[in-house]
Amino acid sequence: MIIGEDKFLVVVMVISVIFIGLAVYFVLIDRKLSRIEKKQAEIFCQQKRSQDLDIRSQDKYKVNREIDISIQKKDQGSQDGL
Amino acid sequence: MIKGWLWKISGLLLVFYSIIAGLLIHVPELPVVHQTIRNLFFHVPMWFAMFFMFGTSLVYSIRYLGSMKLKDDLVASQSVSTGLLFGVLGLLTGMIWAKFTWGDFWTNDPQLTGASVSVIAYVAYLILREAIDENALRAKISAVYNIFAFMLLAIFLGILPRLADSSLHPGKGESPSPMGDLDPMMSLVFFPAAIGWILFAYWVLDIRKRKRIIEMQHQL
Repeated sequence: MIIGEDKFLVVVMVISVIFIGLAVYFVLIDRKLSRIEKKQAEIFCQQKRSQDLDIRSQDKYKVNREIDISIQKKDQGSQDGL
Repeated sequence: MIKGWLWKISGLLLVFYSIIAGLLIHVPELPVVHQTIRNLFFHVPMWFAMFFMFGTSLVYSIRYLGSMKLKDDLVASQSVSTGLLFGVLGLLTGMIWAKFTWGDFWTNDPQLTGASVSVIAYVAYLILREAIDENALRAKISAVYNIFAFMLLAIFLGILPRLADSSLHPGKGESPSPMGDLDPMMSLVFFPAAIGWILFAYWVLDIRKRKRIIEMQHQL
């Protein structure tokens, strides 16, 4: 089955080593990309959360402000009535 | 996690098997080609991988024209780049094979001319993309061009060489096809090699696409 010439075996070994090196390189790149993707996803999640918090705090501020204004108006109305 | 790695590791193992077995198994003694028939396990799978990549690119270009999502355009362009890589490897392995069987690196063969025209058509696709600055316009024009480029590929590599009167390539012109009477031992290496190289090409595409997406998100 195997050709008896040593040259073939040497060629096979050299190509195998090159290919294994290439395969390891690809696996490492793939893993590195996965890590970066995970980090990016976390950063996006944090950014979104902080944006949501900002919007919520802005909404709370608006509501509080409206309550303050309505109380002030009520107070003014009662003073005018007196 | 395992599912994601399964096809990648399978691709690597199949290619590795095809390299070892392709160089070591017994091949039939054929006139003219002799031991160079082993190049069948490398040269033809490269073209299969190239066809698969250009096919993927065509699908994503059509999808882009329907959805107008830039991610589809990104996959289409990266598929063309990956396909070109395997096309060039296919040309190189073919040229080396031609030198040892036909006596010259390049001959006036319809299949070779068709292959070079097809590769040039896809190089033009990348040049066209570089020439347009606006993202949406670039994506739209290159998607339309990509459909024509694939039609050129099908005509120049699939139809015209078969219609030619004479061709040095087996299966083209009046030359008999090697696939019909492929040695059973050789088919045990050839088909795994084809699947392995296609999976490997898809992995290269996956890495290129993910890298580009990360770069784009980083720019934002």
